[in-house]
Amino acid sequence: MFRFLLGRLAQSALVLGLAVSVVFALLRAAPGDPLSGSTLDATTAPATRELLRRQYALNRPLLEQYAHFVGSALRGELGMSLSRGRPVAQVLRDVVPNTVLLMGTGLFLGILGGIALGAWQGSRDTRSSATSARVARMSERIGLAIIATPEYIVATAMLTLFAATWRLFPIGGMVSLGVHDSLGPVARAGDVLWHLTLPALTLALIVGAGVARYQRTEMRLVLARPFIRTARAKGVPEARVLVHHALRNALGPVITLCGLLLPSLVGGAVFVEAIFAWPGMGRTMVEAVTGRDYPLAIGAVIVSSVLVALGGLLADVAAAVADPRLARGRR
Amino acid sequence: MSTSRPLLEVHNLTVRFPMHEVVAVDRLSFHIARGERVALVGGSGSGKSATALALIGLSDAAAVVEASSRILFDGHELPALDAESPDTLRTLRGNRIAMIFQDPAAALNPSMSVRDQIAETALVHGVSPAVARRDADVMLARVGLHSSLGHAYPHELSGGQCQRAMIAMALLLRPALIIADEPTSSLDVIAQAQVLTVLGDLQRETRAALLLITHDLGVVATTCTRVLVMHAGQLVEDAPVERLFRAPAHPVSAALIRAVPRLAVGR
Amino acid sequence: MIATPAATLRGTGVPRVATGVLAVALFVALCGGLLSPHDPNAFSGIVGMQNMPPSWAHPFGTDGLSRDVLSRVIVGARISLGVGALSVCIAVLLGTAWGAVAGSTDSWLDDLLMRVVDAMLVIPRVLLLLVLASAGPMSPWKLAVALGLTAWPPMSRVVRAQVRAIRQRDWVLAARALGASRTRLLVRHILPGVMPHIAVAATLSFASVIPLEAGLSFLGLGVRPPTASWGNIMRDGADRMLDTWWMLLFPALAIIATVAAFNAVGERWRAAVDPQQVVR
Repeated sequence: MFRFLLGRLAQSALVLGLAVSVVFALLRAAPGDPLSGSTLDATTAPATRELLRRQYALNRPLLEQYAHFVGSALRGELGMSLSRGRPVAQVLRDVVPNTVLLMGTGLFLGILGGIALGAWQGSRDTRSSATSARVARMSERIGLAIIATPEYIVATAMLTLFAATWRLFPIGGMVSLGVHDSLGPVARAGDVLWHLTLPALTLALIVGAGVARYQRTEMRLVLARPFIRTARAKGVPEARVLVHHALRNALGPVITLCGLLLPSLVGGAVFVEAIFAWPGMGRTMVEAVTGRDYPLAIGAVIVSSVLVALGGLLADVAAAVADPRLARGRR
Repeated sequence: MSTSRPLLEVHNLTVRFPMHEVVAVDRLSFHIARGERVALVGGSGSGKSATALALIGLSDAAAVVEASSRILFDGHELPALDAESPDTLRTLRGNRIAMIFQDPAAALNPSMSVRDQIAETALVHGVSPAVARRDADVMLARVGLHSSLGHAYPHELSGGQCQRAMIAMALLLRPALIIADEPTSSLDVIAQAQVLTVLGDLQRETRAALLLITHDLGVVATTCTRVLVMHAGQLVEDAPVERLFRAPAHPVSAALIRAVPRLAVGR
Repeated sequence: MIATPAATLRGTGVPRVATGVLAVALFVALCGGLLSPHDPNAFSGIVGMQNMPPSWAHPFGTDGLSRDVLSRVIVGARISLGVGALSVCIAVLLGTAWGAVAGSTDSWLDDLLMRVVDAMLVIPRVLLLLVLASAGPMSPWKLAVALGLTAWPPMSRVVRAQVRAIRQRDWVLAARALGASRTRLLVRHILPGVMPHIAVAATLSFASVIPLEAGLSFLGLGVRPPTASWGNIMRDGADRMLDTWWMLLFPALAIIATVAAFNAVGERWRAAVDPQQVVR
C-alpha cells in the first residue's frame, strides 16, 4: 500500500507540473497578458505598470519565462493581484477554506447520498415489491433530468425556489452582513451553517445524481455475478447480501469514478459559488477574469488543480482500500 | 439409514420461463433418503441446474415455479417461492441444505478473504464471530487447505483450492443435504479427483445426503448409489447405479453411457 | 437470461423522443431567423412592453428591452448549437490527431502525450475556459475555438484506446506484412474502425459543450448581447428571478432538452458500438 501511495504521489506531482505548463502555454497563446511573479509595487501607476510588464514579457526568451513561471508557482509565489493590491497567495489563502468548506460538505453529502441511492435503485429487481420498484424508477428519471441540467440552472432554480420565493434560506453570501460580527462564536457558526445549507445541498444534488447513476449500473452488474447466488445459498439475509457482498464490490469502480469526476465538479462549483455569492475560489476566479486580474486568475487555476489532484489521489486510495487488488497492481 | 420418511421429497416440480416459452423442469418427482448419494445426470439444457435452484428457492428471476409443485424437506413443506416466506428458506440454506456451485472462482466473493466467507456461513446462522472463525479454520484444514491460505482472496487460489473452500463453506454447519451442481466441471483432472475425495470424505463423516449434479457418468460410477436421468426437463429414468450401467432402460441413458470414453484395456 | 432493468429502461421510447428533440433543434437552428415571429433584436421602445409575461402576441414574453423572447430563443439556438458544433469539430480534429499519434507508437512519445492529456484533465474545464476568457470579450467564433481547445482531451483518450486495440487486429497486421507505410496504415486501415467511437464521443462532447457555452454566457463572459444565446437570455432574467421567470424557464428548458437528447442518443449509440465498456 505504501509503495502504491508513493507511486500515485509521484504521478500526481508530474501531472501537476504538466498542468502548470499547460496553463502557461494557454496564456502565452492568449494576447497581451502579464504573468510574471514580479514584485511590482501596488502603488505603481497603472501606465508604468503596463510598461514594465510589457518590457518584462518581451525581453526575456520564452524558455526563461517558462522556468520563471513554473519556479514561482512551485515556491507558492503567485504574484500580485492587480485588482486587490495584495499578493495572490494571500487572497487565495483567505478564500480557499471557504471553497473547501462548501465543496467538502457538498461532496460528502452528495457522494454518500448518491452511493446509497444508487445502490438501492440498483437492487430493485423482479423480487422487490412493485411500489419500491416504481419509486426507484421515478427517482432514476429525476436523477437523469438533473444530470442533463447545467449546474448553474440547478443553482438558479434552487436559489429561486428556496431563497427568493419561500424565504427559507438567505439569498447568498456566507454570513449575514452587518449582523455576523456582533454574534457570539456559536451563533456565528450557526449563521455560516444557515448560509451554507442551500449551496451545499445544490452541489450535493448535482453530485449525487451523477454518482447514483454510476452506482446503480455497477450494482446491477455485481448482482448478476455468481457469488451473489452463493451468498444467498448460504442463507445470508438479503440486507447483508446487498451491503457486504454486492455493494462492497460495486463501490470500488464508483469511487475511482468520483475521482475522475472531480474536475467537472470543481467547475460546477464555480457556478454555484457565483450564483450564491459564496466567497470562495470559484467566485474569486470569475471576478478575476471579469476584472482582467491575470495573476489572480492563474493563481486560482493552479490552486484548483492542486486540490483536484489531491482529491483524485484520495479517491484512488479509498478505492484501493475498498478493493485490495488495486493496491497490489492492475486488476 | 432406516428412517420412515425420505429426507427430500419432490412432487410434480415444474419450472417455466414464460418469456422464452420454455419449460425447464417438467413434472419432476423423486425422493432422496437420509445419507443417500444420488446423482442427477443429463445433457446440457436438460433442466438439472434449474431443479437444484428450485429446491432451495433461488430460481432465476425470470423463472416461474408452478403452484402445483411440492417440495418437502424433512417432512416440512418448503414454499415454492422465496417471496412467500423468505425466512423459512433462509434459515434452512447453508444450515440444513447446502449448495456447491460450478466455477468456484466466480462463485466466491472476490473482496472477502476465504476464511471470512467460510465463517460467514456460521455467522449468519447465529454463531458468535469468534467461534465462527475457529470453526472456519478447522474446516479449512479438513479440506486440505493450509491455514495460511485462509487469509487469501479467491483470485489468489487455484480452481481446485477454491472449490475445496466452497466445500468447507457449504459443510461448515453439517447440513443434512448437500446439493453439488457440477462441482468439478471447470477443474482439471487432478483437481477434480482432489475435490471429489474431499467431498466424499466429508459426506461420509457427516452422513449427509448428496445430490450430485453432473454430466460426467464416470464420476457417477465412483461416487453415487442411485441415478436420476433427466432429458428435456423430464425424469426419464430412476435406477440404482449398477442397474443403470448394466441395462439402461431409456435410450437417453444408454446414449449418456455410450458417451463415456473408455480406456481400451489389453486386447 | 436475466432481463436487467437497465436494458428495459433504455427501451424503444427514449431514443425516439431524443432523436425527435434533436431534429427539432437542428431545424430551428438552421432556419433561425426565418422562424422567429419578431426580429430578435428589435426593441419597440415602448416602455409598456418591457418585461411582459407570456401572452398570445409574445408566447415567451418580452425582456427588459422589449425584445420578443421567443424570437431570441430561436435565434439563440443557432448560436448555441452552432458554437457547440464548431467546437466539437475542433475537438474531434485535435483529439483524433493527438490520440492517433499516441496510439500508434509504444515509445516515450505515447507516455508524454498522454501525461499532457492527464494534466489537462486535472484542470477543471470551466477554469481553463475562464483563463482563456480573461484575454478579452469573445466573439462566438473565438468562443467556439476556446471550447474546442478544452474539449479535445477526452476525445484523444478514446481515439488512442481504439487505435491501440485495432492495431492488434489481423487485417492491420496483414497490411503491415504487405509493406503498408505507417500513415497509410493509420488512415486507411485503423481510423475507419475508430470512426464509430469518435462519433459517439463527439455526440457526448456536444452534450457537455452546450452547457459550458450557456454557463459562460450566463456569467457574462461568453456571447455578449445583443447577439442572443440561450445563456445570456437567462442572464438578463436572473436579476429579478421570479418577476421575469419566463426569461429563465424557456432557455433553460431548451438547454436541458437538447443536452438530455444528445446524452440519450450518445449513450444508446455507445451501447451499440462498445457494449463492454461500462462507465466512462
